Amino acid sequence: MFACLHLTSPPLPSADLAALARQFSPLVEQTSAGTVVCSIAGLDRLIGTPHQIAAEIGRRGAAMGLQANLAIAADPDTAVLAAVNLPGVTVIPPGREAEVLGDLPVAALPATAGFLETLDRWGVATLADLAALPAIGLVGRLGEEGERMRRLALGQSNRPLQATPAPRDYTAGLNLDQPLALLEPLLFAISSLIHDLFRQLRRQALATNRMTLRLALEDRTAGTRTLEFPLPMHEAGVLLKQVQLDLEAHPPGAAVVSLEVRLDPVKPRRLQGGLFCPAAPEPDKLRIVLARIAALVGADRVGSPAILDTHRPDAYAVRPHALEVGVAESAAKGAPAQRDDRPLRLVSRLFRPALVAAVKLRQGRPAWLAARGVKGAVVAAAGPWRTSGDWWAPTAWARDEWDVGLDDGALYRIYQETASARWFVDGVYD
Amino acid sequence: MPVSYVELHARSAFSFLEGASVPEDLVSRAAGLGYPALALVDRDGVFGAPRFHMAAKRAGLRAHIGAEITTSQGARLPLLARTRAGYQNLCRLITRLKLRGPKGREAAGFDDLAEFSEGLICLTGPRFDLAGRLTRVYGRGNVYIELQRHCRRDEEARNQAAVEAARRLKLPLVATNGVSHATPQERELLDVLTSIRHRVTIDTAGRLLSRNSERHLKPPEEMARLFADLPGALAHAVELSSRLEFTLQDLGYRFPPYPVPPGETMDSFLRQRTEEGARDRYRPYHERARRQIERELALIAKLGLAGYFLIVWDLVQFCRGEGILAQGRGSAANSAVCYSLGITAVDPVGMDLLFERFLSEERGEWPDIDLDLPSGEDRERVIQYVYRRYGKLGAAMTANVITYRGRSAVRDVGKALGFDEATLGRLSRLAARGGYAHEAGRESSWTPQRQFREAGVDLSQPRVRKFLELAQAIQDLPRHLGQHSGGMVICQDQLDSVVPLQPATMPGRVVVQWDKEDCADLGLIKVDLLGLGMMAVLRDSLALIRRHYGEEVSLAHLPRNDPLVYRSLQKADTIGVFQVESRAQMSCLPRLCPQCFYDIVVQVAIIRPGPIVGKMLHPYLRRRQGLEEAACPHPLLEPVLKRTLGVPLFQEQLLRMAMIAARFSGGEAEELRRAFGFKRSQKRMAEVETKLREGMSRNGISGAVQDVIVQSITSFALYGFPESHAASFALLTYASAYLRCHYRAAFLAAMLNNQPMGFYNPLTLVKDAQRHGLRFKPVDAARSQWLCTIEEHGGELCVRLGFNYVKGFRRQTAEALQAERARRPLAGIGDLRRRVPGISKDELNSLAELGALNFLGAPENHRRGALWQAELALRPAGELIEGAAPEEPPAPLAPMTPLELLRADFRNTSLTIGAHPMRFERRHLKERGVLTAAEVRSMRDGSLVRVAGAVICRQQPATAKGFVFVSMEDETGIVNAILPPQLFDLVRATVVSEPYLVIDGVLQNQQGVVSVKAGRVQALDSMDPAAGSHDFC
Repeated sequence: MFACLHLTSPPLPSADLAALARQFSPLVEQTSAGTVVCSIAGLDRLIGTPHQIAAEIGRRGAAMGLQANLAIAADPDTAVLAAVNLPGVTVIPPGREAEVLGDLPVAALPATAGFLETLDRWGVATLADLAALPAIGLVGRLGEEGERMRRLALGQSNRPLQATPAPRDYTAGLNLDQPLALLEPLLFAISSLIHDLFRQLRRQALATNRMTLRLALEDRTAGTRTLEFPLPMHEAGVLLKQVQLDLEAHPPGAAVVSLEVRLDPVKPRRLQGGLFCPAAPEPDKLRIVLARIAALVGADRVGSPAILDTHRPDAYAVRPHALEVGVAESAAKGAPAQRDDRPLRLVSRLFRPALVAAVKLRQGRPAWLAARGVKGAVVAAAGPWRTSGDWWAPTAWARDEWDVGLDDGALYRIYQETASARWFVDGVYD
Repeated sequence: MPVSYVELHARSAFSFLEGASVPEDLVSRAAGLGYPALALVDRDGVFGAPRFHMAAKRAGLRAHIGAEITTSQGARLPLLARTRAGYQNLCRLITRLKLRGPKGREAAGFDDLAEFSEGLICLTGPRFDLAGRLTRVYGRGNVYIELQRHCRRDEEARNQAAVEAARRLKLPLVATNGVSHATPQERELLDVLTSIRHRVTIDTAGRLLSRNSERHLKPPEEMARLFADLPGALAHAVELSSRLEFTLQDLGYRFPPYPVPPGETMDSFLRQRTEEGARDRYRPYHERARRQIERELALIAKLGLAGYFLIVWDLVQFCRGEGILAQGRGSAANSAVCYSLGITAVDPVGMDLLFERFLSEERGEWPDIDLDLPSGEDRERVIQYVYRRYGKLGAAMTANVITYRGRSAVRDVGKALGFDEATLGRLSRLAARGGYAHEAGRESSWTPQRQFREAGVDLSQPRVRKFLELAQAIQDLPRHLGQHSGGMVICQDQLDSVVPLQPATMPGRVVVQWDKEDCADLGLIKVDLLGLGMMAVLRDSLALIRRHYGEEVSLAHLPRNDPLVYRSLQKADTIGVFQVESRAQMSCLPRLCPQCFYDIVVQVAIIRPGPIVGKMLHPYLRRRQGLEEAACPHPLLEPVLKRTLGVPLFQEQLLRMAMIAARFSGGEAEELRRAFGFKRSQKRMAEVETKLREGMSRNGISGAVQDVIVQSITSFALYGFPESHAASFALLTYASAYLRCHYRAAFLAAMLNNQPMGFYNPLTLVKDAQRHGLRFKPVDAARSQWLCTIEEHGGELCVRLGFNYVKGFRRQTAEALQAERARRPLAGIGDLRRRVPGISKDELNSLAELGALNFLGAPENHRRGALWQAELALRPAGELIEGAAPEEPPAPLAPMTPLELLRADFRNTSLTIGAHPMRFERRHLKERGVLTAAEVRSMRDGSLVRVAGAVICRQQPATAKGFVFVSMEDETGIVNAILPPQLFDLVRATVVSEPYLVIDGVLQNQQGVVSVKAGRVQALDSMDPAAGSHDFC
């Protein structure tokens, strides 16, 4: 006999449903996200009749807060059909499957859209209608699927259960005898847990891409830190270093009385180094370096500067480093090497932020300039160079730039914001 | 001394998404800045040239024509037409590039440039080698090095190189501003257009957008300041402008002569053909007709238009020879020569129509002949005949400039501003329903704020406000070039030297770069070959009548004043009748009560927005019923308005009124009509109205009378029919009504075979015909053809539905099936499947589900039995038992219930020849107090009624002040309901989306016109199959 549980209110994860099923049988099949079916063979000697088994499952399910339909039948698919489509508890005595399922609509069957469309054209609305069709006629018209669905409608699929093994949990915890107030002994305790978990992961040929550290503190509060890694990690030492940096940046608010480490298992990354790729630091190690720098200067200030695609002068953003070898390689491929035969150009050094300036105009052109460290009469001016943009957004800008030469021989780039009419020195030409 | 400057490089919105101003705006700005001239240089075409030329003419500016030609090096070369030869070369060059092949191969090589170089001036950039080669192509003196300054640092390096190239090659420099918009403000619109062109949002467009707003028409002083260091460049712009002799005034267009036999002139040949025709048409050929024809022929000879008439006559002869129905419409029907040549079917002499509306010496405008042809293959044959006869480069279709309108404007601007798909959908639905709350004169809570709130968009957000502003600004800007439905331009010399030609989307078609109005403005004669669904229906009806009734019916010789026709018109029994089948026409027919042909002409013309807005409809109807005196607004107008009881109904009357009341000349009157025509400009309308009022005041007409006349003229100039056009249409109305009354089976079969057309869906046509006693036969695999046909059954003719009504059924399958059937009758479903192996599973199942296979020995002779057997036939049996017919037990499936049969019909054909869906609900509806359409007709005016039905039409005419009209059909007929705006606001979702409605309201039953003024609207939930409706069109 088989029992099927089908969640009627989805908030609980289906893992809980499977856990409930595993309390009664080691052979559990996760049929869909909210449906599990398990074998209850032999439970009659432990619990009793199918009705008593159903009552016991119901009782434990209620204790777990599960809201589910339950069906018990001699055939797993019959149990599934009944649990999914009939509310509450359904116990189907062997031999009465077709009778119980008969009123269900054919849409309840796990059939293809084309199959259901054909049945709709035929006016076959219920499983009883389908079951009443001649087997040979049906196979002749709808092939193997026709026969399979007819058997389902009769409650005679007779398929073996496809049991799935229970998922493994990589969690380890420690209750401390003495509260730990210092980072070093705490890391020592965490280290033993992490090494132990990594040994377990390696046995299953797995790595991790997420670590969750839960700390219970002396002041009865709790803290959780989660570290996520873009690449699967398989070295305990590297992970431990990251934990250390993280805890240094975010130390617990009180002494720690117990701790729990959980690693999310993922398949490890397999990458073959390129023969002609330049040697680069290990991504894991580079990540540690970057994490250290980020801890010092702030995460938003670590990365590569990237020029933005806009006419806005001096527009750039800090983008995270590309640590993948492949990415760097393809980026290099995208930009073909060119001989730089452009003529020599002036180089400008920008002031960040730009210097507030006072400018005197003559006939609409700058004639005199003063700013912090800059002062003099303008002997030559080119401009205005006019830019504006983002007119649809709050970041709208408009400005007129001038290149001015002062009487001391220096050459500056200055600009006037159109909206405020204020002048600034943007930079100096070397 | 004032600075002079001419902009020689301006792009308009006709560069399609690369310019943000229409030519008129560029001209107006240039004139405002004091430019003596302006050059329009659009990308790879002269699309905007006619509008540019006309606007410049009005503004007193010289309009130079040119184009930017894309070269194979990827550069854009501005070319300016110096002489007429230059313009012709430019057109030929563009035509060569456009017709060369698929998009992307349109670039010009040096060979192309060299071949068409004469008379052109070329502007080029700083590239020394390119400038050198171009000098060899165009000749020294015809190449200028162009300088532009848009306050960009990077441009200066380019300009320095240009100055250097000019010095070394000894070429003149010329300053331009590379204009893309008239004023700086339009830069925002240009950025949006750029985003649309590159299919990116404005946030991600980055450096594709303009760097600043400098590409506008600048005052000459500003240009002088910008080029203070190079004054010669500015002077050369003015000097070059003075060298550009060509304007579109000097187009050099000539209509092709018609080849006549030796010893004949075109005039003499036309006279002979006209005389022959007149003797056939006018029996007897009376003096009045003779005098009119003489007058017309004299004018035609004077204006040199004989060739044009002969060419159209030649087309009509071709149609006649090929058995294609053709009938002239529009103002050509005012001409007795056209009538005699067989081009039109209305006798203008008999109807006293105004010839000057068609052709006037004073107006200096070419006549316009429109031919109605059956839509579809016949029309295409005529078009291809024109191409064959005048050559691929001698004839082309006129273009249709697709401009941004409500929905397209909202979608494109919204997408460019980064709105998500759901918001865009909601906003464009709002726009499609008549724009954002500018339904004039409507008192409603339906404000923009509410509209946007309901669409889930916050109007207080700056981006949304910008969206509104830009969606408004983009209106009427050209989006791309389409093809006009039927206008063809023909030219004596190659047409490609008059206007560039380019391939149309439809294979085998070539279009000119100008639209219909542009062609008319520049004096290009065109012939409109318009496809009319009703012509195809008449053609097919006549063929069916010949075959199944054994009668030869000629449209030209239909019995006049047939009482059956007039009785059906008076009762508004007109579903399927040309032009008078709409709800509005039906509600007017019983009141107008047509009794003669002229009444039909009036009926066709009166239900138009013009007469309705001009408040002509009700006065006319009241006067007709003798409820009001038929007085004219002014005694002077009596001769013009007497025939229409003092109410102007036709465009000719409008022109005559302006001519009499304001002493307008014929040309001025035509100018008035065009000012209020489709391309309305507020400014132009105001100018013409002022002129009209001044003229009337001078003529002693003032005060209220003047206002009435102005209102009646201006309000319906846009949507009024010319009398001749209404008369041509009325002929088709009469013919269709006649065939419908006397040859209903043939008419219905032809209507069904030419869908979609007309006002109603096929279900309504079928149900109406059934109510008139016509019987229909279902689709039958053993008998049906691809098209609906006629069969005799028990001595009466009935319509057999064709395979064309089976959804998804392919024509090739139908033809294969018919061919097999012709060889040997089908022995069963398996036999059908074996002999028509191309039939798909869906096709076979559809036939079975429709009952089309019941007659092929389906077990138990019911649809489910056929489905059961069809499924087996679809399974490959394998070679061994292929062809063997296994012994089949009876099908185990139950026959369909009546409701299932109805659903199957709707699922596979969208119509049923069985009971109307409403009939299945009738018992329940009766319990709810719902009356049938037939019952309602016998109720008293003012009764409270409840009606229900399948919605077949929803309308909210612009002229109805927010009222919504809903037509519903049940098994007994059609009932109309009127929803006041306030009610519609409340039940909008139900009315718009529910296929079946129940409406409570007060019955209005006056003079045979029945409608329900709705007070409450509910959905009729229990109904499911629906046939679709004609909504808000």
